[in-house]
Amino acid sequence: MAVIEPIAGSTEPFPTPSPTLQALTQAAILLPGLLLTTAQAAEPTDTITLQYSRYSEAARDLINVTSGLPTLAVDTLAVSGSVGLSNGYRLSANVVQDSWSGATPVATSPLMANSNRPVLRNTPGGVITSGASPMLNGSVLLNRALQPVATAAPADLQPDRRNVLVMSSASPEMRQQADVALSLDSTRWNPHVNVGVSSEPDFLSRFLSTGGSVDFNEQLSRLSADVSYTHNSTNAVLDTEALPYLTRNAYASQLTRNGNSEQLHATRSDRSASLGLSQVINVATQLDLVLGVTKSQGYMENPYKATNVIFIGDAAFTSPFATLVRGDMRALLEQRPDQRTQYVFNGHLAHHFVGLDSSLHIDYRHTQDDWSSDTHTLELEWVQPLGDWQLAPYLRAYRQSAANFYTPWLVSAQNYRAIARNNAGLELWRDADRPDVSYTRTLAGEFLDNAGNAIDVSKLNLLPQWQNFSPALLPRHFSSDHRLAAFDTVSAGITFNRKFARGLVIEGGVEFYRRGDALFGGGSNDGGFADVDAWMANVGMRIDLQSTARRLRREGLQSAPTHAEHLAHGNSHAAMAPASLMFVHPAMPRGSFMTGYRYSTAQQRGNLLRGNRTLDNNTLMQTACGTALCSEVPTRMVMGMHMLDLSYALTNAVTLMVMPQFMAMEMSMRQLPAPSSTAFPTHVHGQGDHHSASVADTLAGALWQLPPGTAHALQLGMMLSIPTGKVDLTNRPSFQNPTTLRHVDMQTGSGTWDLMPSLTYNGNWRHGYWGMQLSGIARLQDYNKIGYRLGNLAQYSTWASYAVASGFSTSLSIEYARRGRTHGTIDAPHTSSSPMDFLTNQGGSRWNVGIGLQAMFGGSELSLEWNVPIQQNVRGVQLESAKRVSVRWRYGL
Amino acid sequence: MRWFARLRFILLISLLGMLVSCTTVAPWQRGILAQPQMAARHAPLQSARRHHLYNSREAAASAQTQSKGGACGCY
Repeated sequence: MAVIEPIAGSTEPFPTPSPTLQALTQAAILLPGLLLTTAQAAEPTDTITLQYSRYSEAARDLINVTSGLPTLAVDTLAVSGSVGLSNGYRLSANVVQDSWSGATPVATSPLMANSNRPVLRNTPGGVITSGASPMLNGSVLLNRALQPVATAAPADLQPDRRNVLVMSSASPEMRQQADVALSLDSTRWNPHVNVGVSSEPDFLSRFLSTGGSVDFNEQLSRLSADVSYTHNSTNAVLDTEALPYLTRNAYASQLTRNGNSEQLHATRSDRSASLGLSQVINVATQLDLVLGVTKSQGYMENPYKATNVIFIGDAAFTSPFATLVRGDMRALLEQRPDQRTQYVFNGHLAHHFVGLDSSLHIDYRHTQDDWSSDTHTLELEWVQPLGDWQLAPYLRAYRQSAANFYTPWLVSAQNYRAIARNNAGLELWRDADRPDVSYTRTLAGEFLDNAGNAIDVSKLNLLPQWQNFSPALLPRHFSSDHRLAAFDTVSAGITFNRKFARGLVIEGGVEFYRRGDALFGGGSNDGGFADVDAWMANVGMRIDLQSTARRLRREGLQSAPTHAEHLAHGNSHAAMAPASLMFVHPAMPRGSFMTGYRYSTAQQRGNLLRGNRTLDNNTLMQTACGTALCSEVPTRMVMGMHMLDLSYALTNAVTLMVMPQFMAMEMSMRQLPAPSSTAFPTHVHGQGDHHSASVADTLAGALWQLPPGTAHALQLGMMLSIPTGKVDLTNRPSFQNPTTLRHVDMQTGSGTWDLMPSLTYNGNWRHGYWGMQLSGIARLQDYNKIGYRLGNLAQYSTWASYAVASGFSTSLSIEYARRGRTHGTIDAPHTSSSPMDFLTNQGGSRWNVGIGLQAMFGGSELSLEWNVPIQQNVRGVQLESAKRVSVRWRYGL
Repeated sequence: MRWFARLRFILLISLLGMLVSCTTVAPWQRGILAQPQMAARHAPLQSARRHHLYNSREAAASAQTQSKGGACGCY
């Protein structure tokens, strides 16, 4: 055990500490909580972080067919902040939005069952296979050892034990999570409480945790304890297309039916506790240990995963000469235990290498649970500062054993469904007109009544008594979810961050992840049918608010008024403008940076309009879809726009701007009541919600201040919209039908290069601010790659705001916007069942009025505006607009 | 095997006790420990994203009790 003498001498390992090290030493002495344990949530400084990350899987190997489905991808946006309050309290908050879509396994089946059915297409060159469609039920030949074989031909009698995932395409889903934490940074005792909620259309999770840590042993040791409670509610709409082929008897009491869809309802709760110890080993080494336990109770299944059960009649191999039996393969919703206790041990060792000024982090985690799934995780990370950069390459290895109820598929020696028989082995029949009376059918085909007398079948309406399989003959729990199998993973990645002088840190990372059946030997020996590669990448921006606040104070003493001071003292025209206005930017001194974030959510709901008139159902059905009949209409659409606002003052008058965007849309539909004489075509939108989300178009350009820095100022803006958004997002494939293009309003980009000019006037007299803006969008290309071009946009806005207190103002705005018609055609397979599917139902004009609040503090400005339409006149048939809420935060660096 | 697990636990606690009692690092020697690269979570947001994805692809429990909840992971 290393013991370091407190007095420097010949044994002093660091005889000439650098100024940086001395400063850090001072900081370390002053820090009330020196140790950052794995269980500590609060960040040491006031920060705001914006992050975008993406996870993308490679295509799964389906052996004899190519899926053709888009692979699974997850986009995540995260905003988090941490600010110190008075008396040592700290408030931290996180907001996360995930959106994911793509191919996902619904079951596992023997390859010989051909569950990924090829989708064939006629092309000029002949019939081709364009993908695969999942077939949940089917038949498969088994030999006497119950192993699948190809065909009954003698040459094919060799068993083929290969399994394959049955792939389906998941509808795009979105998850939003928000959580806040309050902690106290004191000299010894650091309690905290954390509460949050995560919401998905089919899953709601609410969680609460609390705990704390105490330092002792002269702050060389820290003991921490945490407890948490999580309550999850599942309300999963089962795949409507899969319902006829999905056996869900085990959940009959938890299912509700709504039209042609079924919803599964269930709850689950998790209780966790952990105990941690952080210990300084020597001047350069620290150890963190955590022991934890989580007890889960309730529904732990995945409602979208099925397990294939191959039913063979109980008389299948009664003949000793029978060599093959044809199994009846059925998909049953998986059944997991409703209890789970997991134990986890985590050890983390950090050691600093003085010569390299770098640290090695070694993490080892071991978990055990009562599902017999043990896991081991080892992670090595090397954190290397290089000037203002910090690079951290890492390597991670993971192994897990299979849960004791995991099985790729099952065989059950009973019929899935058969005519019931009595004890004598005779079939049971009943009269449909008198269901309480049973009859038997002899092997000769003769029907007998209860007394054994032959009856005249022609006088009765006899039907067989069907008997379903017995669940008691199946295992109590089963799942073919490949995440419960035995497998290994290995991943390698690197994270980086780059510090800039103004409290700005850019950080990012990339990781390659491989899952394999037996990457480190052993494994499940299942042939690796669930092996997959994946990539993760992220990029983010962190702002150290305290660093910038210090700079602001320094600048205030040493220089003439700067942009930052303008903000700090609430003397900015642009800061007083409503949050919804784009391209209104504060004048900035040459060489300064500004960053910001905008969020805007626009909601359409209520009636469908033609012009400004409300349409009834019959009119909608007859006229809203051109010459076709409309079968469904939207009831609600929500568009959310996240925008990062980065600007740099090239001169005192010219500001360069780059604004990447991320768009997320959600739409709800309803079916129109069909008249009795009308048969609607099969619709593919389905009921319920639809989601779209992806990176949207990126704006880049410049603003000219004319003249800069006066009470009355003009701003000329010239922005270019770069088509980085999507115009080819598709609906989920339906059976053997091809995918169809999602309609135009659910695409996240225009698909064309667009010019966005603007001219803004700002005025100010004493506490009053006002302004007006002319802006527009001019499409620079004839058509996008799909074949259409969105209409041009012209917009006029005027506003007035009044500073009711120092750094705080209210605003009133009026806006008029007119969007032209959409040109061209949709040159891709698309649906024609609702008004949004037609380009003629695009464009129109609208008057909006808005009220807003603006606040400025410590170099930041924060604006909020609520905007509602007062008059709208749509082109064609469209859902009426309801409201728009905009939030803008800007920060001078 | 339960006695063996208990023995391991007792050994672990004893080892921790030795660590706590034997270490002596004066406050002015703690500069290195306060360096950013020594923080267990030197990139907390990136770490959160990574572990969220691991949790949705693997069966292991998380060591972090805080911020439980989260996604269904139904993909």
